[in-house]
Amino acid sequence: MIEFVNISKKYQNHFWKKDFLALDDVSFKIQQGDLVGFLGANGAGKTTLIKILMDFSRQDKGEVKFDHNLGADQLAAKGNIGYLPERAYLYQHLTGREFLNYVGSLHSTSKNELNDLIKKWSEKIQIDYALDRQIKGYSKGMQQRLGFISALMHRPQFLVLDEPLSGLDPIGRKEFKSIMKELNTEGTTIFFSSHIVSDVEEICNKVVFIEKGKLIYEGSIDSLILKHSNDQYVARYSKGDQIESLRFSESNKNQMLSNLISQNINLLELEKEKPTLEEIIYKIKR
Amino acid sequence: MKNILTVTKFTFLEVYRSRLMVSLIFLAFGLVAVTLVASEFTYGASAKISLDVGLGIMSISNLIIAIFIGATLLNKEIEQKTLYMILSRPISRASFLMGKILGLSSVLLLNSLVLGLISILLFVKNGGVVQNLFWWTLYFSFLEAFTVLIFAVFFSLLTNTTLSVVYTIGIFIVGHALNETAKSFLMKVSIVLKTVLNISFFIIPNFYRLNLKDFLLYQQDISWDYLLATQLYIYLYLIALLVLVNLIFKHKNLD
Repeated sequence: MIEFVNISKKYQNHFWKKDFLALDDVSFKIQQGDLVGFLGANGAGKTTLIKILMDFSRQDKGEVKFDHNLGADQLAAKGNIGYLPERAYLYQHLTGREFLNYVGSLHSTSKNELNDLIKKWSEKIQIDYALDRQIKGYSKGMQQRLGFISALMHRPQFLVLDEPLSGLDPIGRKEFKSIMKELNTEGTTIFFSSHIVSDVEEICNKVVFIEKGKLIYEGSIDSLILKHSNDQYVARYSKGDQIESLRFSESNKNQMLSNLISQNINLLELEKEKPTLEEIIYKIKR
Repeated sequence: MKNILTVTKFTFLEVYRSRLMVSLIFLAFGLVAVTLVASEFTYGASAKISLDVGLGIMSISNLIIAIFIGATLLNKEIEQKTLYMILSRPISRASFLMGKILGLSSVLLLNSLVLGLISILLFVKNGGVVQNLFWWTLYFSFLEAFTVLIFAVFFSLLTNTTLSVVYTIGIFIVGHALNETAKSFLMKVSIVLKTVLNISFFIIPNFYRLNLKDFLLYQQDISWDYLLATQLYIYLYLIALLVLVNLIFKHKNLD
């Protein structure tokens, strides 16, 4: 759906200082139907790459390729892309409804359809009560909710979300994640950046990880976890009032299980030991 | 075109809700007060004085709006990143820019109409008779402010807000002074200086030509040739300037 090909971007400092390399030859693909988490520490280059994708910033080298399903050219493709920046940048003197009408009118959506979409999404994202207030009176979380609606109300095929969960309370985070999963199930491709690994692990099927402008990993989360897992298993069983556990390797697995069963003990659980995505990322960074 | 008008509409709404409109109301009251006081101190020419003061205040307020809003128009959008929410839609940078410029021009137009109509009412109240030249003066004053607005936008794309304001004021002053400079003795004797001056009319707009107040207040007549030639000149100039502004904005990094 989208392909980044050898993207490099430098920022010029003072002329006596060396240029800062924000992105260094980054290449990866986002396939249709993927829910991709874009991981990296603060300053790793995530927002820069997203700005290049949205044509706000120009790369020094490389190319962003759009699938023709999105549109004949980049401008047409934007009609099928929904974008939410790291903070929803909104016109403070407009009301929430006016803002949604503004951005919605830029798509080929009829007025009635737009009103229905605003009603549907504002109720779903629970901001309908504040739509007729000027945005300058909104809290950060409310602005983020309004920005989220503006990104998805025109039913984009591809959603680009830059740190969408920042500034939200725990309930808001849960709601946003559940909507993202729901949209992905319905066929929307989602690319969202975060520096919170557990959020990505919870909802994404793929991950792209960059560090200091370089691509470190691109692929499925399951295969990354599998790659970094050892061959250890843990069996938990009850012995009297106690729950005990026994650790053994893949090669001893069948033998150890037979022993436990032959001793007539109550086997509760057998689990393959695997690290969390956060542990793997931490390991890779080191 | 639909997208340009959408940006125009919401730009106007955003500016309308800001403090600028409050200052327009204050200006309107100030205009009435100053004109009434000024006409009280004149004998036999109160209508002319009220028109002179009224049009003067309108021109100055138009210029202030054009310079300050023009210089902050895109800078504010870029700094506050509000344009990300718009340019992520199927709208070209050129359409967005045109929409913003038209939105602000409609604010200038509103200012011209409100203050212009108050001036004409005071003029009529003091015994003046409205003539066609009055509307031409209003229209040319708007064109002058519009040109200044585009210059402010042009400089704001190249430098920061403060310097954009300074450079735009500089262009405005030079644009008015060029015509008087052409009349100086040196220009009559030096072919080189005369050529430089003639070239500079293509670089810096000749604002003097847009000022019809003297025609309105003293000669009360103007030739069609002058009106047509001035319009042709300023429209060609504006097209060239808008193309340049558009090119710069198209290639600008919006980091």
